[in-house]
Amino acid sequence: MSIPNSQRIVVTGMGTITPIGNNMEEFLEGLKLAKRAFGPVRRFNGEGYAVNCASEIQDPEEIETLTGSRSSRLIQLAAREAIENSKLPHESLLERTALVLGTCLGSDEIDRAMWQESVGREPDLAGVVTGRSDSGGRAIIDTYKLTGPSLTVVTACAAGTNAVGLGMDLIRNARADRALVGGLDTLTQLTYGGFSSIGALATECLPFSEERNGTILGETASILVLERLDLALERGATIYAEILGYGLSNDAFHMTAPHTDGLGAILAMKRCLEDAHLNIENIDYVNAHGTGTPRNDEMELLALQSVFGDHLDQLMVSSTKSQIGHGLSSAGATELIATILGIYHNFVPSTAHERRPIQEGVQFVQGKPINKRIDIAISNSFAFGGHCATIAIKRWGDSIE
Amino acid sequence: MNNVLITGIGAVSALGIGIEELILQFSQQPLIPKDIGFGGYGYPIENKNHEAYVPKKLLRKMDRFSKFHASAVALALSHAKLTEAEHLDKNQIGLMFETGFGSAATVTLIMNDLLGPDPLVSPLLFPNVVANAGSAQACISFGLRGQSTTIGGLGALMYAFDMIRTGKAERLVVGGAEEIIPLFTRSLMEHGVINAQIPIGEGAVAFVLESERAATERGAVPLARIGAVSMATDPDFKPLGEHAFNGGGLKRTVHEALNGKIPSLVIGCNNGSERLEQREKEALGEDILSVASYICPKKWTGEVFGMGSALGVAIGAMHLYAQQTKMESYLEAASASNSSPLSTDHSEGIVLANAYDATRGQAMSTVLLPV
Repeated sequence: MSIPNSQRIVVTGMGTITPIGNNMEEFLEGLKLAKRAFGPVRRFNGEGYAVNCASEIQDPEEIETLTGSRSSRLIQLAAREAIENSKLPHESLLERTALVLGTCLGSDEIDRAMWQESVGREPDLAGVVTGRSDSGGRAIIDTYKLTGPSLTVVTACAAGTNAVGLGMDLIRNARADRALVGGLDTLTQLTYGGFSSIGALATECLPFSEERNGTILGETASILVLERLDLALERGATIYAEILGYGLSNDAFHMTAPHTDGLGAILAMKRCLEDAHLNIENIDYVNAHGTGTPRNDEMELLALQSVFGDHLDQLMVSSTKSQIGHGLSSAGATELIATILGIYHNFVPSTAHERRPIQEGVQFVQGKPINKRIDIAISNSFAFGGHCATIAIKRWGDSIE
Repeated sequence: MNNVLITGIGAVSALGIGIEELILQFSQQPLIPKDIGFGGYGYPIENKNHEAYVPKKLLRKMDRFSKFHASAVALALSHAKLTEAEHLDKNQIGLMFETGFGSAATVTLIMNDLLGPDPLVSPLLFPNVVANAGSAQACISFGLRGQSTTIGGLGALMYAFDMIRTGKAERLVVGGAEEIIPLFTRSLMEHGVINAQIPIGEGAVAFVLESERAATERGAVPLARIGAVSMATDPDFKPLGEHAFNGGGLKRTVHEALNGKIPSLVIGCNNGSERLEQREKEALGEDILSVASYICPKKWTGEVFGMGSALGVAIGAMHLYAQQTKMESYLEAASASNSSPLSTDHSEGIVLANAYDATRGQAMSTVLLPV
């Protein structure tokens, strides 16, 4: 079906800070080398917890040149790289540019204030107030003088993917001509302690392996620049990929455990395919939610089986969390960037381990990435509380057969 | 594009349970706010009557914030007569809520337990720390599996409106929820976002949005139609100190949403702050203020942050419904207290509901129309 260029949404810039790379170039290299960044927790004392392992960003030097909380500075750096990468003149951003971020906790200032109060110290009350606007990317709005709609999606691990989809909708619905979209979450003792309390952590992240027994918490900050295709073409922008559509759902089952039949995941994927006007046969690659927890991976495979049926054995599947851990609300945006890099550079990101997979007959891309063309991919994100999001991305330039 | 109708509303607040009970309060003087500590005043919900609307077996897994969500959603579904519509596929009904502070109260409760090595936090309690917990609990309670999300700050209504307008969804429960949290009260007081003259409130408001087709097909009674929603941001907004809020965002949203129309009623976002009142009136301008009634429900509810947008829209919708059905609109008394009597010209019936998030610098305006 023919969609006018003003209704087609493309990615023209990306910026990211991850445990395996502090910018796009390093992240790309890290993906190609199947680099993993796991080790004992550095940001606080992880000893004494049942598991002492996380995937943490090595803060880039430039972070010292910025003001605000650590998470605010990280997302500012990611936005800066994305906008520079897009070569969008700053004056283009002044009008009709939306900002949509996904974040779980957003501001570490609020966490810190709560912690201070809990241990009897005087809390940073200013941080509690500024933390609200920080989590909405206030620094990005102020730096680039954005005046369009700015929203913050807070659906935990699905937030990043949802944020990209919402940004897409804002453009499709003519509320903006371009959108800065993405996600951020930094490692905090709150989330670490919480995940530890529910026994979800492990020292290895082995998505889709028989030996999987938990996830590793990570942290990332990622921004993508979305534009109307006609405007991108008009200014001669480099187009990395086209966002075709997305779908949302809620499991309506349990606060932490996924639906036993994968119902929420199935609905999100089906809605994504419908929104993107795709058939199951169009999909080459799935960047899975793939946390490495026993229940998620099993459920996700069940859901993929239900949606893709016989086509499942044609799909390549992998999980970026095997390299950078689970970035919570930032995961979806960062994993989308990983997927786009794979599409653009003709490789399939891998699940960075070589353990026996839990199911035969599925093309799990394991160990090192493989050099293979991806035309159309989907990326899944499933959250605490049952919120699910799936997004579809296409190689730029080719038509869908 | 589809017409988007409001077909049911639920509300939980210190003023009462259910939208009718809430609006009834507007015919009275505002209640005297209670001392909530740190020099602040507000309207805390002090009973648990709203819990009666939530499935009992699920209550024990919910914190207070989630209970507000679930009960408001239950009331909205009942008001829309969707509870008894068992033939409808709940997998296609989504939920889009917004909140300013989320479940921070639960976080502060368990923070100490989480900080020690090998923390012993109840697995039932920990999941409630995420900001989407309230929405999630409501989805679980009522089996809602449609397109769903949670927004921090403003935006859920605009998102939902667009989804239905463009056909991506047919039915969505939309709303906002907030809880009074001592640490936040203290912080907001300390930095002048609220003061002793600006009480704060809590609770949740939910309403059912449906496409006109879906509503008509099942024989729903529409309360109002959403004509437009506009949202904008203020650059250089500062939440602290000398506020740099220049009202620019609100001015843009008012004019974009109205698109040249003049409302007969404005549901204002003013919470008692002189600066916010000034900015809102500047945004509305003389053309509107000279003909429209201007009421500010937060005089009765207190500043309700993430609940504010839903509150304004719900009140506006009920006013339009009362006009159409010739019922008494309690907003007349509320309007009189603002020295701007409700317009007797019911022919236009355009209502403008404004919202402003003073901690994020976001503005949103919604135009409501009679059906």
